[in-house]
Amino acid sequence: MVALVGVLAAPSAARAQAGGDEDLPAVQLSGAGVALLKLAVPRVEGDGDGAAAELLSKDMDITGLFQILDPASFPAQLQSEGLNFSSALWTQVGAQAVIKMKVAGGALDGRVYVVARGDTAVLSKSYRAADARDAVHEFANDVVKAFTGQPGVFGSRIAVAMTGRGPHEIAVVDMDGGRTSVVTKMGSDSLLPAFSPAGAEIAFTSYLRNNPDLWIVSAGGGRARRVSKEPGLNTGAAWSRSGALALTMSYEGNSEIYRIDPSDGRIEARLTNNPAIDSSPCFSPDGSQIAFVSNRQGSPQIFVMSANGGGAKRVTFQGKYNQTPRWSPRADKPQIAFTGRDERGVFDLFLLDMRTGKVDRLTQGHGSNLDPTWSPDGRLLAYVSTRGGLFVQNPETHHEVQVWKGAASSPSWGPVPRH
Amino acid sequence: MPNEQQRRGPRRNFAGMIVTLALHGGVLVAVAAAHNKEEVPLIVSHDFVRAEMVKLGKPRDKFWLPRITQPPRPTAPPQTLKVAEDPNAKPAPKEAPRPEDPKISKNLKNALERARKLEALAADEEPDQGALNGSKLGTSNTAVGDQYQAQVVGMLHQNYNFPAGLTLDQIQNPPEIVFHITGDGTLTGIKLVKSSGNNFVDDACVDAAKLTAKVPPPPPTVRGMRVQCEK
Repeated sequence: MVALVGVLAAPSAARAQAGGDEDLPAVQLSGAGVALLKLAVPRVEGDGDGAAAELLSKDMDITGLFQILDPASFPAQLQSEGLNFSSALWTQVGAQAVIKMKVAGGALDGRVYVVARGDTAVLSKSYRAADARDAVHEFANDVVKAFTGQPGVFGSRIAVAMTGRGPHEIAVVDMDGGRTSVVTKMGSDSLLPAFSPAGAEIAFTSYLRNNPDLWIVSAGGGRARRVSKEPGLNTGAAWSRSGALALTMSYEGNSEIYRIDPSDGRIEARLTNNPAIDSSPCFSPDGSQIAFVSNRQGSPQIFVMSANGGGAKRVTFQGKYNQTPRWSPRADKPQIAFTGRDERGVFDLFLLDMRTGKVDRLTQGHGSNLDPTWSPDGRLLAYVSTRGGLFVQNPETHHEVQVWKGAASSPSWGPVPRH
Repeated sequence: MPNEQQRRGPRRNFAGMIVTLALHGGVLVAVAAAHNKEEVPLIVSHDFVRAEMVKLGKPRDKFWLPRITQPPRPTAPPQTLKVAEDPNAKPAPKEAPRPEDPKISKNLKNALERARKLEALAADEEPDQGALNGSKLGTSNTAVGDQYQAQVVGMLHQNYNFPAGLTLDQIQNPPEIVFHITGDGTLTGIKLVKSSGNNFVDDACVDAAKLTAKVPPPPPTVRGMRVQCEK
C-alpha cells in the first residue's frame, strides 16, 4: 500500500521539482524591525594606550546604530590579527562587522569588514590629521557612510551654556564630549546659545549689561559683540539656513517674535502679534516656516507659522506644557522635537511627526530631559538631563549615550566642519 | 493415578504463558512504535492572527502626552509549536454505525452510487482545490493556502530586521528572495533573485529566511515561496 502511494505520488512530485521558481506563490514581507549591528572593534596596532580604539568605539556607540561587543570576549588569536581578517573566526565571536585600525605616526589605516561578506574589506582608507582624534572621527564618518549611505557627523561641535559654579558662560564641546572650550568671558550669566548655519558664530543671551541682550561671539572664542539691546527680552535666537535670525523680544510690552539683521541688530519684521506670550522660534529646514511656543490658547503649546509671520497653527494637542520646539533639518522627514511636561510633572523629550500629527516619546523614567537639538544630518538628538551632562540619542533606535558630564543647559548642535 | 484435570494442567499452563508473552510483546511493540513516531508540528487550524497582551486598567487619557509602553521586538527565532502527548489520554469513542435506513430502496442506492462515480470522474477532470484541513463548507480554494502563507510570513517577520540607520525610504526597489520548503518545513535553497541595490537591505531579506530556518510542514501543494521584502 505504501509502495502504491509512492508510485502514485511520484509523478506529481517530479512535476513540482521540475517546475522553476517562477510559479512559487509570491508573498510580501513588510514592517521590518530595527536591529543594532553587532560590531567588534579589536585592539589597534600601534595604539599604545588604546585611546584610538576607545574613541572609535565611543563614536560608533553614539551613532545608535551598533551594539559594540566587549573586546574582552575576543580570543587572543583575533586580537593579534592586525589588519588581516578571518570571517570564519569572527563569526564565532558573534560579530556581524569588524573595524580594524592601524596607527603609525600621524597616519591611520582603517578597514571595515562585514562578516557575511567574506574576508574582503568593504572599506579601506588611510587618514592623516594633526590630531589623532580628528583622524578617528573622519574614519568614523566613513564607517557610518559605509553602513547607511550617509556620512556621520563626527567633527561637529555642540554649544552649551555651562551652568556650574560661577557665572554661566558659553562653551563648545566635541559631539563625542571631547575637547571642551569656553568661548565667552562675559563674567555674567549667558544662556541659550545658537550656532550660526556655517558654524562660525554663536548667538547667545547675556545679562552683562543688566538686561537680557543678544550677543554674537566667534565659535572659536574672542570678543563678543552686542547685536540686540532693546529694553526687555532679546533672547532665544534661532538661525535659518540662509542666515536669518529670529528671536523673542518684549520692547513693545509683550513677548513677541521678531526677525533681525544679525549684522547690526536692525529689526526687519515683527512676526507675531498676540496678547499671549510667544517665544522659542525655530526655522523649518527650508526656512519657510517657524515653529514657536505660545500660550494663546491657554497652556504653552507648539505652533507653526509662516516665516514672514501670520497663519499660526497649533500643532501639539497633548499635554499641558510643551516648549523648545526644534525642527529636524531633514526635509524628507518633517518632524519637530520638543520638551513636554507629562502628568507627573516630569519633563521629557517628544517627537512630533508633522505629516501625521503623531507624537512619540523619546525619553522616560530617567529624570527630566530637556532642550533637544538636532545633529546636522537630523539623525541624532542631543539634550540635557537632570541626570547630569549632555546626552545623545538616536530617535530611531532610542539608543542613548551620555557624551559629556558637565552641568549645562540649552545645547545647540553646530554643522559638520568642511575640510 | 492422575485424573484428566491433572493430566491437562501443564499443557494449559504452557498455552497461558504463550498468550501472556504474546500480549506483553504486543504492548512493548506498541509502546516502542509510539515512541519512534515522528513528532508532527502543530498546524494551527484557524486564521493567523497577531495578538498583543493588553494590560487591564483604565484607558490613558488622550489629552496627556504618550508614554513608552511597547515592549522590545523579539529577536530570538520562534520555536515551532509542538503538542505534548498525554500518555493517559483515552482514545476518542468510536461512532456507532448507523442502522441502515429501510426506506432507501435498492434503486436509490444504485442512483447514489452512480452519482458518487460521476462526482469522482468530475473530480479527476478538475480537482477540488483547497487544503487538507479545509472545511467541507468552504467555497474558496485560496483561503487555507493563504493561511499557511500567513503563518510563514508571520515567522519570517520575527526575523525581518534592518540594520539601524538604514531608513526604509532608501528602499527604492524591494529585494526578492525565493526558497523551497521540504516536507518537514525546513527552508532550503534560500537565494536572492532580485537585488535592491543595497547590500544591507538584501541581507536583511535573506536573513529573514535564513534565521527562520524552519516553518510548519507545508500542505502538499506548497513547495516553496517567493518573498518580496517591502518597506
